[in-house]
Amino acid sequence: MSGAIDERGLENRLARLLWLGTLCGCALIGVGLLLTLSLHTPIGARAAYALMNAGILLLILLPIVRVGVMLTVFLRERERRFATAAAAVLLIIAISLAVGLWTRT
Amino acid sequence: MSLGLELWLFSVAAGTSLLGGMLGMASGVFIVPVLTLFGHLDIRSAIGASLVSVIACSCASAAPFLHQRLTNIRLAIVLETATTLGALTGVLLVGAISTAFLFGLFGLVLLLSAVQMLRARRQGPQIVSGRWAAWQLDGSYPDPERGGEVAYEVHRVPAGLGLMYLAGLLSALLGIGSGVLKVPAMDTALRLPIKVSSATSNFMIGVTAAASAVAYFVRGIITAPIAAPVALGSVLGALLGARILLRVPSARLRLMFVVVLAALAIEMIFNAFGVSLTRGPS
Repeated sequence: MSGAIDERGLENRLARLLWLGTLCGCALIGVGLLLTLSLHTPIGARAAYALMNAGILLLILLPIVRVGVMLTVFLRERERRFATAAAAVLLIIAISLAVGLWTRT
Repeated sequence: MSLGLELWLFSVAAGTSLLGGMLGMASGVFIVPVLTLFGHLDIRSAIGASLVSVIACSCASAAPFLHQRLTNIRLAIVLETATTLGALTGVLLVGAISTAFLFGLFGLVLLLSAVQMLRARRQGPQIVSGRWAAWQLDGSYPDPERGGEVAYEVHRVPAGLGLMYLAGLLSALLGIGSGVLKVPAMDTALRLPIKVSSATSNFMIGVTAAASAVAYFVRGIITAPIAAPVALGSVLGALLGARILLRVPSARLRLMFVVVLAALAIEMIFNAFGVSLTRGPS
């Protein structure tokens, strides 16, 4: 396989991204949950809700960002086959998002 | 929202992920049945919450596999075109599918998971054909037990892509990681070594679930009061479960899981026909 050293670097970068992203997402959700349990004012509830939603959104976006990182690396290494695959995955996700917006109630 | 419900959701997610992690299996398949049968939640909210927890568990457990070079990221990105396309199909279909059908399909998947769990995983025999060599998907991984790099070849890519498409479809419809289809796709069609198969499929689950979760999030099906405690609980449970993986004798635990899977399957199928044992007469 071409570029074994770059491969190693990419793997470590993805590992760090996914781990730190999960920590941040879970921390936002955790703080939001603690706020719900401790604050019983309307403003507190709204802040808690916003934090939890931000955490959930971050978790959902995390694997998509991971595909974006892979796309940039494959493009730089001129690995056309894998860059095309990564671009296709992002395109499919964009279509899914559009379908979701279109059918929103 | 009630505090009791949030604590209950958190504990249920943590408990099932803990047990799942100890067996090295994804516990996404338990979340929806427990939330709907015992929590009496709407199945669509349960599916949304389960998807977020599936993504979170995939991302949380990816790092060690990547560091050990067990994840084949090139193969993953190629197969992800099929899983995300399946997920998109699910997003398009889910509005037209009745709740009863979702319960029935879920029951079937649980039954198949129980059968799969009874059988030991076996990878297809490695033969050297070089047929897919031009795709540059083959790889190698370090195996401390055998002392050195183990090279492997990827086989039957079209069959693997087909099964992965179905896995993505099931993931979007039911909010699961679809291990029930990914195991045969990875072990039998592509003939990957089991360690590579587990690592790569875990890596793919996140983006597969995210492909449908973006649509459900903007549709408002994924709601914070349900998804947040479930996601946090399952990540904590899965991380803890992975740490005690080898300390518990697993034969009895496996059998217990098979029984639970079968019981949940029967109850989900009963629900599909409007009969509920946990809810009393409806």
